[in-house]
Amino acid sequence: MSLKLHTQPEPAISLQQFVDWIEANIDFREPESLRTAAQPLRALAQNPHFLGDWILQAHLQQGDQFQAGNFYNYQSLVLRVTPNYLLRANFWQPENALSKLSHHERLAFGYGIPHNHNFHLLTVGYCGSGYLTDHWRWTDPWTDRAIGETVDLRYIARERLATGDVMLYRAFEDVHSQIAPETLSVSLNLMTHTQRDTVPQYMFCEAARTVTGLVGSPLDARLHLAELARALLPEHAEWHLQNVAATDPSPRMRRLAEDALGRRFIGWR
Amino acid sequence: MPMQNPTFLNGLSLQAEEAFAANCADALRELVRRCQGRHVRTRLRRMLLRELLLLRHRQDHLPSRCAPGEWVLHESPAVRLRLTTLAPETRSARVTEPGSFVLVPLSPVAREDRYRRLETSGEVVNDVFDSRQQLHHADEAALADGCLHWLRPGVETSFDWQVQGPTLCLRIDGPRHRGFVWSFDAATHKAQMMYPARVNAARERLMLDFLLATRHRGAEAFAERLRDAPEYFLRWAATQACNRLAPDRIEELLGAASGDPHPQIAALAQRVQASLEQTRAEA
Repeated sequence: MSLKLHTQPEPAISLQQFVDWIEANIDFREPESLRTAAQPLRALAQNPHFLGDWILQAHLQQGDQFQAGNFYNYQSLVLRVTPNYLLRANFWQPENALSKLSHHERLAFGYGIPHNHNFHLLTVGYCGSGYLTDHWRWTDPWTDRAIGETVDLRYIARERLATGDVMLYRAFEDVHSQIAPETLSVSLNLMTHTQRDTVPQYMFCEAARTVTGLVGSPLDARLHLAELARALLPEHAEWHLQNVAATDPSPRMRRLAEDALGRRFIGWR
Repeated sequence: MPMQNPTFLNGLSLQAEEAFAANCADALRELVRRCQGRHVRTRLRRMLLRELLLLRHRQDHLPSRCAPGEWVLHESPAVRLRLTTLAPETRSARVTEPGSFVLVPLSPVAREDRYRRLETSGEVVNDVFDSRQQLHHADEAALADGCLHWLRPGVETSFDWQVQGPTLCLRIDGPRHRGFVWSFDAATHKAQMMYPARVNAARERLMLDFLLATRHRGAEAFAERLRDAPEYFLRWAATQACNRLAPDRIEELLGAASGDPHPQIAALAQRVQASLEQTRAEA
């Protein structure tokens, strides 16, 4: 099944029109509802000036505070964040623009690293040739996995996110790996937030079909704070960690809390 | 970002801002003394307790700006306050400090817990990478007394935290006066690479390329703004962009670039100027 959604060329809309539409019409808990934003997202992508206008205005107005609070790497510009969704623009550097020390940059752009998401992501190609993406379907994404464990990934296809193309990456099931585009490209992403009671987001080795890493989630901050608090408020912090380990709906959070209680590092994973 | 205790944090930030602006050891020592006091510890304990209570009562509460081993309490261009956990060193690289800072342990510290200051020797120009540079041991001190660091011209400094176990500290950083962070191999202490201290520098480069690629009407204004960027690679990219968008400005742009403080930009601009003059003379 292709990641691409069928859309029609339509007159361009402004960023404000797009925001108004999705906030009035989308239930961000439902991927099927997110799917209905495909057409307005394409209409936004047909507006050739909005992102440049936004950049110039935000950069001039915010100065040193430009993108303060954006914890993504330099690839991403956060355009809007609400309790229900996040809208961002992602830059995709071509291979020939990566420096010779490009291992770090490849990681930053996520090139060649198969991974899934624990949130739904609707994306449209905004400009440039567009990245290529290899797409796998994970047949059993609902089970908590450990690093090194073998998983069943079924290869689907290689597709390109060309300008105007819309793709939906569903949380957990869709595993993908980006390949650098030929020219600088930009995609627009409409994303739901990490689901509360979920299994983690993983990285995979394509050849061995194994889990190679776990990606941290914003929810982990609930544990990181308790770990920091241990030095000054040991009893309260331990109580919180024990409570999470015993009652949290997420198996991942329960396991991380147990690790923290056992003084095992619970960094970015 | 939410301010758990705006009066306390604002007061501490203001003192820190003044101390970093003065860039003098006495002001920074006074800041360390204040951070070591019971009042600061009590306030921090209250802030943590408040967060833990929120976590207990609200399943959807996410502490703002909390990462593994770090909680940012306040951030402005002038000062950044955070709780940070020092852990036994496992990194494969040592990175330099782009600004001055003070650090005070909040959890019990063992007598063996120390820090080593590592410095480059000879004059280092922060934005001119030199792979021959190496870190050398400068001095070391007990962590219990806290640590204060202020930038000195021509010297890049890195810290090696030698702690027995995770140690919670209050760290206050001043403005990032250095444009680039240098990375050194942890084993050999040889320089490996440098990268911009501001994450927005890399974003600005991408944004400029994007505005040029889409022929946005504001591209020249944006490039003009970046000609004053602190990072040399942005200034040069902006100069090239302005020339591309307005070729008749070449002499003005080259004239300005030939006086750029970065030697590679100045040399490049002078070379292009000379080549242009030669072409004109031959024509």
